Amino acid sequence: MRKRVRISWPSQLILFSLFLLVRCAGSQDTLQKNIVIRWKNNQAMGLSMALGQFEAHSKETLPELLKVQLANSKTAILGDYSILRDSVIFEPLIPFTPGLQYEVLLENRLVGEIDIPQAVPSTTLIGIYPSQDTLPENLLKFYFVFSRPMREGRSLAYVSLLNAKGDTLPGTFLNLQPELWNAEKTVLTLWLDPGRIKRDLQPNKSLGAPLTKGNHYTLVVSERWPDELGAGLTQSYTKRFVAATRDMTSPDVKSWTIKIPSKGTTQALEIHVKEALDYVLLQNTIRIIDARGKIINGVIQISNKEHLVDFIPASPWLAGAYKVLVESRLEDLAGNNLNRLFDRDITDRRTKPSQQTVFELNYRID
Amino acid sequence: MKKMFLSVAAALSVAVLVAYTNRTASVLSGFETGTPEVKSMNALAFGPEGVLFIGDSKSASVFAVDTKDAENVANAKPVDIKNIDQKIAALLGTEAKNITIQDLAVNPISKKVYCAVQAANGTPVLFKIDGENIQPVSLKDVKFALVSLNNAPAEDAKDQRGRPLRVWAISDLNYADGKVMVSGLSNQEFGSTFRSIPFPFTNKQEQSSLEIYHAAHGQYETNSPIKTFTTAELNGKKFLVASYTCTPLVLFPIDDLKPGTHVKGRTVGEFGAGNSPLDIITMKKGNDLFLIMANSDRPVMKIKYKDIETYEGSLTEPIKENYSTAGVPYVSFPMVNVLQLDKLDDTQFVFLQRRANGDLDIRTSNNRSL
Repeated sequence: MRKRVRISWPSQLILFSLFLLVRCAGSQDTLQKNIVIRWKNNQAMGLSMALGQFEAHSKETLPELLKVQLANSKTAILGDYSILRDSVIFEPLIPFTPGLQYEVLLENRLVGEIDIPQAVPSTTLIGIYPSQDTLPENLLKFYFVFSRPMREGRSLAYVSLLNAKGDTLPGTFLNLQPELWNAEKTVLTLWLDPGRIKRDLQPNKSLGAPLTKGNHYTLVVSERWPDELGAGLTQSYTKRFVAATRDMTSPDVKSWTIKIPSKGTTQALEIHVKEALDYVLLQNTIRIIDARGKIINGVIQISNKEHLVDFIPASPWLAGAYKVLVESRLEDLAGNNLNRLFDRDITDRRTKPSQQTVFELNYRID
Repeated sequence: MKKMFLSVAAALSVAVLVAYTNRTASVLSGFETGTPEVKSMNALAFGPEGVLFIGDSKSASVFAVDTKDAENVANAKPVDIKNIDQKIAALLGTEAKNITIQDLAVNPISKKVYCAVQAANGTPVLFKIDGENIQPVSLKDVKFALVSLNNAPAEDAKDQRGRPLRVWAISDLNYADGKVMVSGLSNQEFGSTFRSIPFPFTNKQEQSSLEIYHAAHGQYETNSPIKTFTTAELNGKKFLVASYTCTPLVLFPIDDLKPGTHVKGRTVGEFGAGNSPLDIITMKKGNDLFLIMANSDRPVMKIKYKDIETYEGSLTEPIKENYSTAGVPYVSFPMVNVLQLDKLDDTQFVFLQRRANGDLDIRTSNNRSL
């Protein structure tokens, strides 16, 4: 049994305008209302065609006789036909593409043409992380955070790194397929080519590291970067930064400081992490437990250019002992985690990796 | 009389039990029927009995699907389809720029080519190619099994609101000797994840999770994500032959890949800076076995198994000259911009190639080229 799609009022408005766009090849007015687009999440998921217009044919035979195709194509689009009340529904395997024109044929005779309107840009780039404007020359990755789901697969066409003269620097980012998007397709992780950062590896020898200390750079995000609906961003974005000294040390939890909240409040526990750390990992690797080991529910917020972690508890703090637990996979901006350096000189015994999986900080609320 | 009846019944039961256990169990016996919720198809590989493994990064799972395409074909017809992307796009009612071919895999029994396609909005669609014919493969009401790639639930639990979950981007997937092997990258920490999962899947956590390291020239050590891999028998021993995101070709003895171990591979080749490996397969000609490797910025390379077998060392000296290569010898084919490879039959392989004029074609090469 198929679900009936409930259409919101903006969609209804679009739908109404689409009535006007549906042009008919045969008898004018009747067919105009007889084919409508079915929308879901702003995507054209199918066509609903009134059975009345196909009176001469039994509804069982319609799936065999109907054909939907791109205008100027003779290939029938793959999809499912079904009958829903007084309409025949066609659902293609993928949504119809904004900006393209489609034709409906019955026994190879054109019965209607449908224009799918272009999607209007509405997606914004909310943030680029790390957000500091001074970054280590062995910086490993950027995160791009968008307001809506984006299109995957061709991201490198829309991101470029320019030097101080405004020239685009080639080969800065690693072209990975699949790209590293979060499940919602709103956060992209882009690595600066690790082969160029790893000392002594051939790409590093041949091309050098992507960033050089003391140089100024501009990261440019094009407004043509399409979102899931194929529309670009509302504007282009830039991030200017300067490369600083190579970061060759692991983050040290012992150097962190804590501002302890008051008992009976939901004030934030403030964790000052001393150096800017990885924006996404900070949100994922820190947990608070009470003296009995129970996880305290709450929300983590990152601010002060990734130097400050605020933990806001869901319920007021009770008096007692607490622990901040930090997973060892937490990284700094150069990919050094709590256990090991991104790129370790194995002849240097001081940098031997540890096997510790969780690091702790203790505090008390009285 | 009753005693005799019981003895006969017991003997019969034993006979039935022996007969049952002697029968080779089908890998499909534990499959359920339904519609698997495949959210993405990043990598494909075939297992026994026409089972297709689908690596799904979005749901961090590997699906095993019974294709029911298990009719044996010894010698495959070559596949040669020009503008495959345009043809698939037309079937989907869109333009070629709005789809991506994620992977190709040949069913080793039927020799049909399966092709994972992703639409611009992320919808995955599976196709089967037989000669010139391109057909969709429906995943509605099929027999399937699945295994989750996520760590123990506690580790990735969404216990605090707003915690973004880790995505496990599958870079390659292969099946060999009763195991599904998956390499992947995290969208959060930099590292390498490799899982070896016994198939048929069980409820037990039998996955091996490995940390794989890359030692550059005996001095520097880094975590190294695997981009593509295959398995090979070298000097009578099974190896994982892997290529990293930064090109080195590395060998790991399969016997060393045990859960939770810190495994360091032996680098046997570096194939140039500014290049990323895309796919590796094994082909045979006469008594010689070859690795065939497609690359992002270099032509397709052929490496003789024998050369790897006799290459005893590990690269310890940095390469002096820019863009030069080191380690095992290789031969470059006059084939560039090859994005996907798979073995079609004993003498042919199929490949997806972006031609100089921009066309995307599926083509077949026979072992004369080897």
